[in-house]
Amino acid sequence: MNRGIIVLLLVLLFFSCKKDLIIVEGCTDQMSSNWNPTALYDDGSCLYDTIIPFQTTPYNIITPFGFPDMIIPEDNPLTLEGVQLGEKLFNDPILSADNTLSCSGCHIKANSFSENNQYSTGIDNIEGFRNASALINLGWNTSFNWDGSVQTLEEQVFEPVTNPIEMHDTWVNVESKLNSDTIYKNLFKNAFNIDYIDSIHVVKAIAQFERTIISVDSKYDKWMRQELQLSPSELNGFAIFNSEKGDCFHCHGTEMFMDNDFHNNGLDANNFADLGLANITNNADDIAKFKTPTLRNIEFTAPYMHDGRFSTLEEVVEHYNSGGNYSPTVDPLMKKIGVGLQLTNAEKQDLINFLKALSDYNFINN
Amino acid sequence: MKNLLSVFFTALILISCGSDQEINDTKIFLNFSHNVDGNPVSMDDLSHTNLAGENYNVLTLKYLISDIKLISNEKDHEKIIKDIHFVDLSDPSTMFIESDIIENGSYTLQFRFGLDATTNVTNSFVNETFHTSMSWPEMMGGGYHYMKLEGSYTNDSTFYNTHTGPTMGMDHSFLCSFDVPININNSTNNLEYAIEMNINNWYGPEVVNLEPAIMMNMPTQMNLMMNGMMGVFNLQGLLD
Repeated sequence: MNRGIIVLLLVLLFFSCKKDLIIVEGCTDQMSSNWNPTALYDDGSCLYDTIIPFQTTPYNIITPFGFPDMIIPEDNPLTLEGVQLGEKLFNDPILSADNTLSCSGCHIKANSFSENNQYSTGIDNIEGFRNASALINLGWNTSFNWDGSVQTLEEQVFEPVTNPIEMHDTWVNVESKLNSDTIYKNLFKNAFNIDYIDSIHVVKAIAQFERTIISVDSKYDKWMRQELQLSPSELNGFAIFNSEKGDCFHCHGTEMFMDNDFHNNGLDANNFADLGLANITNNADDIAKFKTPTLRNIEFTAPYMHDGRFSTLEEVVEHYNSGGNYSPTVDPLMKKIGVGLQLTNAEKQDLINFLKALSDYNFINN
Repeated sequence: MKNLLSVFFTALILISCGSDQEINDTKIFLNFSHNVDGNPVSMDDLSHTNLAGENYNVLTLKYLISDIKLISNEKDHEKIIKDIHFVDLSDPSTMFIESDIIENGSYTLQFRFGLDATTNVTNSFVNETFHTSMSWPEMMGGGYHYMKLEGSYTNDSTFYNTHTGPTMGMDHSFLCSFDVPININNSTNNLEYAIEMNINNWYGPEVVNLEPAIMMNMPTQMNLMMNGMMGVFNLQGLLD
């Protein structure tokens, strides 16, 4: 009897619960947009959103004649989106604390991305102590700043933003300003697929843009391509430049017109106001050594030397023609210390005319 | 059982014969060292004296050697160790070369000082570290310097630049061969040698004066080449 009651109860229980055991059909794929977690049987109804993978447009650099491969870090390849974003940031005073000074404020295209003042002035009206470098062909440099204090363009961009005598901002503030700007939010999303703009990606974008600032279409380059002829004066200047008569090529050689090295070129005998490379290496042998700048577009980048002490190319040539000043770390390539190059006035002018043939007007004007 | 034993002993024989095959892991290490008549190179006081009686120091020494190879005693095969090597006295990382594994055999070492005319072409090595510092202007012959040896002489503020290279397109590179036997077999450990440059030997027996500018001085370039061929370099075994 009791057994029968139990069976009856079980039957009743079965039928009362039967509706909960109905097999639910639906989409069982968790990756779909209409996944039914209660579905036990997939009925083929799964739907999927169209996922567009993140893509950027590669920006290809054509290596100029006689140049090595450009140094491009693996974690910051050149893209059209990155370069365009970098150019916008380069020209935007938003990077400075009072929103008045951009990179282009001290690196002016008409001056081959340097400026014609001896020193640059920051937002607090404080003058710097070194002449603004020309920002061309930077992708082929192995170190940056006059003292080689940083090894990559990305590292270099960090410093001016926070330097009290330059943009005097903080990266926290810069990030806040950029993240409040819908246009920048979209541009960074397109360039790097990020939703929050940080300093790392700001410097990456600017570095990408700077790598595209390339100047290799001077009269000299056209002559090398046999598109025109240099004047007799320019040709004689070329000969002086590339022989031990002028000896310029030993530091300003190759098609890059620089050597990625540091030299004491005899500017001072003692009482060095700026120790240059020695500030970085703490090596007394590096006192007064500065990075060799390119001579491309040198006509546009006065004044000259790390401290802008020479206003004209004539003064520069006269420095070397007079021999320069001996100091214990002066480069042995300055082998005419105290004697000088002994160029005639005509030869000095020929050399200057050749230096001016390194001017890329197409770059400056377009 | 008999068959199993046969297989076992055959395998044992094959294994025991394996050691007679020509397999080794010997490498050659070449270290570059520099002296002035056996004395350490001085970068400070003018303590060195050359054949011309000039006192000098050494502030810069950079040079290229090429076609570094081992030549078998039978002259029937060669093993290239490295195509081009750049030595910079200021950069310790340039002071040694490690070869790949060298096959068993008896060899001697040879390299070329500088680059031969076929190799020494302007912009041929734009991606090498020496491209910017060693380029030789096209109007003086093109290509690359073989050597930059610089310093002060007579007094601290008088500089010499002993720069050698392809003056007016002439090939002043030369071969350096060494009689030191290099024997490699299966029991040979890694071998280490020092390639020693006696800097003073650039300046004699053909007397070469210290001068600031010799790149277009053909007689001086030829004398430097001859002095180089007569014994600037020496090969010394360190571990063999």
